[in-house]
Amino acid sequence: MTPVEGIRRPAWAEISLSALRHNVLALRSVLGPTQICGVVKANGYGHGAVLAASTLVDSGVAGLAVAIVDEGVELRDAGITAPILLLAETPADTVGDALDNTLTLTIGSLDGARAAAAAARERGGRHPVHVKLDTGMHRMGADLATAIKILDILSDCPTLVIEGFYSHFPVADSLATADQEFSLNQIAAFDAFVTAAAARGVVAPVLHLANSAAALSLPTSRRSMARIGLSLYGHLPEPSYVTALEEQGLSLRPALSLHAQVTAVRQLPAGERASYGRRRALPGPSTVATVPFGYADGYPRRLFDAGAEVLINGRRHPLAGAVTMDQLVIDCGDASIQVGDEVVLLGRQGDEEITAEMWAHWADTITWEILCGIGARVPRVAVG
Amino acid sequence: MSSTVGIGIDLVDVDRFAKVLRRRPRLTERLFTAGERHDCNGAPQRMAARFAAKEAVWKALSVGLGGVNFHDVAVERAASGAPELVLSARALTRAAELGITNWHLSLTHTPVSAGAIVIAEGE
Repeated sequence: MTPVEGIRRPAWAEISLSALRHNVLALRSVLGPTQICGVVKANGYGHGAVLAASTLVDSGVAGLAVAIVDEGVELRDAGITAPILLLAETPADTVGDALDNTLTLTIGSLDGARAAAAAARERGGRHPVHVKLDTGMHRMGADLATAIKILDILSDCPTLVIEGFYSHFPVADSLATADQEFSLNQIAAFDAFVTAAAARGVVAPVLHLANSAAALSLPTSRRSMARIGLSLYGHLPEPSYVTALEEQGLSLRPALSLHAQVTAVRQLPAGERASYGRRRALPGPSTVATVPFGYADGYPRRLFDAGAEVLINGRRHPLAGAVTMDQLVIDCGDASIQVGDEVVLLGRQGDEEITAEMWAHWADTITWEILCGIGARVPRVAVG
Repeated sequence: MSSTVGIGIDLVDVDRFAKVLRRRPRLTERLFTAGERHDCNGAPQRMAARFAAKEAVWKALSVGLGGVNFHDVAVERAASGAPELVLSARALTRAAELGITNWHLSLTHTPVSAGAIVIAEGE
């Protein structure tokens, strides 16, 4: 009954590989000589880490980034050989695992530098590392004085190669003047560090500051590389960036859509109340459809109160009642609905479309959280 | 004696613009001030014309669009009902740098397209 082999519940995410490829090309044309580090942490922003990583690498990103060692190991186990940067400093007891899997360490503390040097000496060979400077995010990374001391420790270790310097922006997606000045000051602080390092004879070939937001809005943040996550998946960190892209004849395409099939249909009279809490009375006699996708799959509970809709047979229909863990109930009004009809929860159907930005708006959150929140049990299916 | 310091023109496809707004629920608030949203009352042609005006002004100011705050350029209605430009923050600073003291704005739209032309004058 399901359109996808091997899926035992008719609910799945489709990942458009052509959209991912399109986005890489569009962003490369914006970024020019700045290479892309494709960020595939959190299961490739919910798209499936291996699926996303392999497609991005084939499309021309220079490398990949993940948050934790386990994410890097998953990609290595899948045969991905591109450089993979660990975006957070790795706990000392897993530094060895990182090196054994040729994952590039981030160094942002003296202890981290010492642990990396010890593990690299033990193993021999040549291990690239990136030094992270804290220029204002205040989450990870070293201040300037500490970063210089880190360089001394790393330089003393013949089996480590200082490949990159980087930093991160907390407000690059803001349009407020004060925030934009904050980001520009971060760039200046980063440049001061690069200069100080060069004065001590340390020149890292790879410099990266920009995330998606900075890459699109702060051209001076673009160095040899930019770390791009959200935009590669077809979403913008700030909606008004769409205007700047359109001006250049560019647009991004969302790569992920969510699909399901109706699993039950019932005719109910006006006034009946479906689902937990009996929260909403049907305004009229209605066909109520059950869809096998719930908050455990990443459908935010808040979407019911916010008036969210789903698409069935090319029409928008509201939720009839509260979102449950595994299922939704949909008020289809007078529409003719059959068991097996295809439901689009996120994506296009006919002329209608529900976007992740709409979900984020309804749920009062950000697009990142929506995408990362898509449940582990939702199969990710690659489409052309 | 005033002289022309800059001009800007922009054309917007109304349907395409409306679709872009629908896909991104927060975009309307990002692009338009509360006053503009009130004046437009949800009409796509009016929003498209105002957006064209903003883009035309940024062009006249020679500012790239990435990361600009679209609220810095607002289209308000004069007592006569004619639309006029009100600049603030970064747009105002940039206009002052260029010596701009006065703006002229003309908007037009059909159901299909909306356009705006702006002329910036200095002393």
